[in-house]
Amino acid sequence: MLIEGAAGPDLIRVDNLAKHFPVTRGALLRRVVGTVKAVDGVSFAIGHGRTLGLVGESGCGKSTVGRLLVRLIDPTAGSIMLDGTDISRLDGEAMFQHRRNLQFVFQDPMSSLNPRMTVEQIIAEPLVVQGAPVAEQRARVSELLALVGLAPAHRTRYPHEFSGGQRQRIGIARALATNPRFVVCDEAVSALDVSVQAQIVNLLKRLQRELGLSYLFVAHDLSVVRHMSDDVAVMYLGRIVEIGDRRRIFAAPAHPYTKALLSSVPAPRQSARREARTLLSGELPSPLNPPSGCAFHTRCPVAFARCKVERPELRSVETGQAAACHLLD
Amino acid sequence: MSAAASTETVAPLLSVEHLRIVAAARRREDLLVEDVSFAVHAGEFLGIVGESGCGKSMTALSMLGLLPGPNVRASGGRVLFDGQDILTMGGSSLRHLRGNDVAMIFQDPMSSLNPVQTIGEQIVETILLHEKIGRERAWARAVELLAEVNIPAAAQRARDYPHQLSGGMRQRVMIAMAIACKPRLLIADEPTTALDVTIQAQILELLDRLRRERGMAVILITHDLGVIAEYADRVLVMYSGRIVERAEVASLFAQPLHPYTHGLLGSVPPLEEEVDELVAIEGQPPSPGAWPSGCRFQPRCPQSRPECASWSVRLIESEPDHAAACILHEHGETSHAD
Repeated sequence: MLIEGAAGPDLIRVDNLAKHFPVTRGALLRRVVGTVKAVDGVSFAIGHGRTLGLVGESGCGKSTVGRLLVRLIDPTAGSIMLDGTDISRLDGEAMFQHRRNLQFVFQDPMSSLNPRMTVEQIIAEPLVVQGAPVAEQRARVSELLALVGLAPAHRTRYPHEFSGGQRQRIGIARALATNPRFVVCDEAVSALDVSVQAQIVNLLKRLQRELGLSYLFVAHDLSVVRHMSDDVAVMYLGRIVEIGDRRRIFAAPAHPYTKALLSSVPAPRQSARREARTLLSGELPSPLNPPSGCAFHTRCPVAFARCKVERPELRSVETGQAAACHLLD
Repeated sequence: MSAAASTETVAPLLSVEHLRIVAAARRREDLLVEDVSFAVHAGEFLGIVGESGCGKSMTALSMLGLLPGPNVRASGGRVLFDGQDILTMGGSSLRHLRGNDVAMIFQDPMSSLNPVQTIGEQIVETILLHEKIGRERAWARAVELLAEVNIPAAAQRARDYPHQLSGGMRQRVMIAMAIACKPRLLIADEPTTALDVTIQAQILELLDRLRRERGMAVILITHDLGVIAEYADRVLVMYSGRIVERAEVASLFAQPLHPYTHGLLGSVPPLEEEVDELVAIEGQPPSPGAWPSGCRFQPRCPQSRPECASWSVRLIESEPDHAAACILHEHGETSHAD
């Protein structure tokens, strides 16, 4: 089931994407004792200049999806269409041509910036890889520094001289160096202080408007995801349980897990003192041994017999909203 | 809302008076916390909110005599628990205080738990440190405590090692250990920051239930205004080592007085409605040692005036139980002396 991008053809279209990691035992005689289906049959589309927010708890596979899309890791199955070309199996020179269009902003800017490189070297590195002439690199770095709100004087400094928010600006400048069309933001604002987080969120939105970028915005903070996204997908144990238009998902969530997730978020408003809160019992099951049927049935407040045996497929709930739950039959 | 919060006549459980904490490095001394005063009453849920480096964790550590000395120390003020100053306590009184009277849980339970000892044994150790009972009775108590913090199959889980538990379960174990000796005050420093939202909700409900059932006061330190809104009775907002606003939780959200509080609230995208752009605060919090003179928020403040840099910063109570350290509220000062 795919949710159609609102405007025109999609930039990214993912179909039945899967990533299974083997679990091995033994140091010398390594043998495979199982598989973790980190991502298991995920499909979605992202239109030009649009943002898909991907939410879920730790271990649900949301970051793996992000890494698959930019081919940091190889998918086990499924296709990733970038502007009509399937890039899921490309490698070498063929993939190299596409890499400039796919970039990534990491959660922790300190561990994703080389401490021994200056800001200029960091931001220019993707250009070096792409073989841009030196003069062009220098001009582009100046342009990028201004674009993300850093001063020209910053180019000769090292990452440790910056605050967390500024480091994230450097990471964003690097991601934009090759003029990408699609950027994965993996928990890009999660490690920042609240006041600085708002600056980076505003920056990412402004860049999207100005450059026509498409984002996959992976985060666990639902209020930030709502603010950033056009569409939202909710993942649970490797699968999308609900996907659709942001307004629909937040106003009328259809899947019991989405409902629970939303009601778990403490709201910084006085009106919102906890009254009608759905507390989920139990914890996320081990992805090594996921529950049968609907993976959520062990924690679901409305599960019934069928949920244990049969896995629900995504089905349309409303225009622009689909959920995988037997109760929607 | 706890009744204790508004009855000023009852002696507070804990009272912090003009606390000042400094960090000494080589030949310089940096202020970390300055002129922090507040009180906590029995059974009250107090929230302390602020960003990294604002001094909230240092303030908390001083309440247990746990400042990472000798370089970081309290250089002024008092922290009175039941009338006794924790800052001047010696080793044995401190050991008695910790656990029996005041307990603390931290963000990362894994680094507070011993990886080579079962969680049951660790709780037993805590109990035996404070009480003269037999090992067997202590074990039974440990299992009861694990059940009280909602760990399923507590008797079996007591034999687990920390690595066999999830993050949420480990935090429950820390809470069980913290309440083992029935402390009257529990300090929780970012207890749910590392946890998923659904687990965070469970842990916060648990803390609140224990507070109600045991009449224990809770100080919750967090950067999350949502958590404060839902659980705290009263709030302190800290910025650069000072309390910039002190309020009952309802009035803080209804009418934030300090421009910093305003900015914090604007920085969080609302979950129920849509806004085009977040009202971000420009710049970043200054690090200790680089604090500006006068009001420390003034370089980032959208409402700053020249006088702010030389203003003698103090909390000004503009209505009962609601005070802010801002020059904008100075006119009301004479009628409600702080």
